[in-house]
Amino acid sequence: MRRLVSLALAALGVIGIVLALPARPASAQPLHPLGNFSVNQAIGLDLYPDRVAVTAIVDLAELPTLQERPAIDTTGDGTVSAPESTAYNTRVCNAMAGAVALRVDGHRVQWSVRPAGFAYRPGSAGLHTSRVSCAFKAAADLTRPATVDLVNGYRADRIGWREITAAGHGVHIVHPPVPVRSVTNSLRSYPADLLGSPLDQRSARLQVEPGDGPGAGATIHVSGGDPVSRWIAQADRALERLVGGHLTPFVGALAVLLALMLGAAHAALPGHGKTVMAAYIAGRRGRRRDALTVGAIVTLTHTGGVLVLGLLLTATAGLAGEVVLSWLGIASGILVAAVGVAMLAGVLRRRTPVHHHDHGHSRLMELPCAGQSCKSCSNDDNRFDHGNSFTRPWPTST
Amino acid sequence: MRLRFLIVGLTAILLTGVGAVFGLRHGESPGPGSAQASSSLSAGQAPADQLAASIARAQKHLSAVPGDYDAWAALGSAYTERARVTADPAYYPKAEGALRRSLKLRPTGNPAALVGLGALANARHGFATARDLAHRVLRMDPYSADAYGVLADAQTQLGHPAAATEAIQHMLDLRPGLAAYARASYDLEQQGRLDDAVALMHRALGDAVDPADIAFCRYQLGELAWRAGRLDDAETEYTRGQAADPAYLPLLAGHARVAAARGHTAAALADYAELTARYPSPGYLMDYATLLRAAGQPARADQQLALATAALRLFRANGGTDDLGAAQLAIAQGHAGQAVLAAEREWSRRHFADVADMLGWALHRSGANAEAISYARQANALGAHNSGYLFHLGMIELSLGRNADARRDLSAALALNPHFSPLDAPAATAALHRLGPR
Repeated sequence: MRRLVSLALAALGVIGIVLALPARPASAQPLHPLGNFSVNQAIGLDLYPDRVAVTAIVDLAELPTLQERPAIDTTGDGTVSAPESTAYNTRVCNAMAGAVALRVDGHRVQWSVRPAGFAYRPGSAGLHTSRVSCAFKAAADLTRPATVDLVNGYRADRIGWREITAAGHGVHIVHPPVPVRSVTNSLRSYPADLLGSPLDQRSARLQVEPGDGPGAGATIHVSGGDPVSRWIAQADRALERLVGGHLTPFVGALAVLLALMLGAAHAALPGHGKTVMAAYIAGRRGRRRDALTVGAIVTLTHTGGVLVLGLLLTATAGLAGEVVLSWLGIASGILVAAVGVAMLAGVLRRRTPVHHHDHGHSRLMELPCAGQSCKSCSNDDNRFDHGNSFTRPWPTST
Repeated sequence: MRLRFLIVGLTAILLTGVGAVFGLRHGESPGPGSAQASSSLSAGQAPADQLAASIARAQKHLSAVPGDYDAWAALGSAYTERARVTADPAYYPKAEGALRRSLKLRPTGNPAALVGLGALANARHGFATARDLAHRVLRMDPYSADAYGVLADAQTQLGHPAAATEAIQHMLDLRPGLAAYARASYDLEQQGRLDDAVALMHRALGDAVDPADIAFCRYQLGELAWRAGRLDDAETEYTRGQAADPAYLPLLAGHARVAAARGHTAAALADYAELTARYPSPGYLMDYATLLRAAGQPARADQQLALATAALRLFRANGGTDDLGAAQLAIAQGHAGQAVLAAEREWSRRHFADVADMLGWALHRSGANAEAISYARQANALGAHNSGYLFHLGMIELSLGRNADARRDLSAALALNPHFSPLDAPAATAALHRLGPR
């Protein structure tokens, strides 16, 4: 019995880990910083003992650039003249200065704004992107320890890459939460890999103190999360290396072993008639041997049922899965009802004490996952599909 | 004995709980970007929080375990979904990259990647490709509800309504739920069974948990009410949808249409301005342009059409094909000849009612009314009870001198929804007026 318990514990431990792996996160990020609709922003903060300065860049993708065009070409002659360009640059920088709030120990600084450039650049599909630069400056006393809060609320409803960098000059940033250098070279080159994790940094809180050096500066890294998930990822990688190569007998045996373990864990999960089983044992005042026998029977019938069904489906192409599922649903319903009736009959018979031993174990058969009733099976199929997030209804045509 | 069972049971619950807790932690582990990301959500720019979460999770998982072909397929499908929800075609190449990566890691027996590629093909309007991919998956896995979903979308758009209905039936049998109910509702709507479509969409709503999904169902219910001319009901649904998920932008379009129908043009224009600033899809830009033109602002209307042109160009540059949109745009810009060419190209690919309607209307605009009428009739053949289709048919009949038919169809269009379009509805009324009483 003790062994049974420890086995169950080991199996459940595996389940715990398995459950932890395809986790359900709460964070959300817009994915492609360079989407054709995006408005991307970089805030570069420079801290001096007597002042703070910001270099702000806005990089508009193709469609926002085109949408802004009428606002830039105010004369409507189809070209953007130098005065029009400067006027637009000033407008954007003023709007941005109003939305980029910097507080030193809670006191918001007043920016003096200088437009620093506006230019079109070639984009995709023969369209253009545009780039607006601004410089903000404000007096601030950073000769003593202080807290600097920066919040960028410019065009908060637009999708886009948002980064914040900070460097100290004669001011030391304690444990800087943001990097010194822009990873995109100030929105000139975005990471292009398929797993690109774009930045959406809209605020930063810096602890500063007098001192020299720009501070060590944080580097961007993709966090692997807590130690447990890091360990799991490592184990996962190791397993992948192991089975990713050639299939040797050793690997094969290992895979079978693993499958056995997972299968045991699977069988230990809720469902699979364990309620019926527990009720059965409790109702029979079962001994260890009864429990083990019933467990073995469940395992055997479950495995056997799956194998038979698998063979049936692969061997006969004409057999539609849906039909089998509906049959199985009916069959399992009848079986559960039959077991219930048998148990009820047993109890009634025991009330009128006739005999005590019954050899009806074989009545307790377990069906392979039928229909939606077996949750653990259907979950395996959509590890990343909780809550139907990918299978939204039909795509609306553009 | 009983105690031991109790211990085992409690341990099971405990460990499951541990898994759930670590699962959560795993997802929102405080990386440098993710803390800000959640604040970005509250700013309400992304219409699909769950989806963005799935993407972030899959990305994180794949950077740790790059050989997980299932996760690559899931990520690719999520990118496709993201492109649809944000209307930003820049996600399509990324989706394809992730799905191809999955297929490269596991070239055979990888239905998830093929389903993803099918959905991507549908999104890029490659409906024939999508249908073939869905069939390939179904040969491998006849239980795949997702594959039936891809197949249903493709068959609907290709103009095979019977095959689409069959695929949806399979989907309903295999996985009755939001995705299946919503598709079934759309199928009924295509057949003009608007009441049944509403009933099914209510079932879909009952199945929706995500705020974005609730908003989606409310929006569809609003659309169904709008199509039947029930402005109050439509507005109620749009408002309820926004209460569920204020970030679901199509609801804004619904509100704009209702406002325009009630004559609140300034409010409608403001809604459209906000909508197209955040979600510049060719369709919305064209709707905005139509309203601007109806409001007597042709210059600003042309600006929106220029934007729609650019949006379509970007759609093509990212591997999409949309000659239906191109035809609609050409008509809006007064290029009837180009519209006919574009609509004919689309018709050569698929015989969907929308395409028949557009081709008929383009032919009418270029003066080929005799040819136009057969297409306009085909668009109405399923009995969709669509005001737009009926208006086009009526106007073509009018040009051919079939006044009785024209009167019947134009009246039917207005009877369904007297406000169906800010430009076409007044045109229908004027035409009926010219026709005079019977």
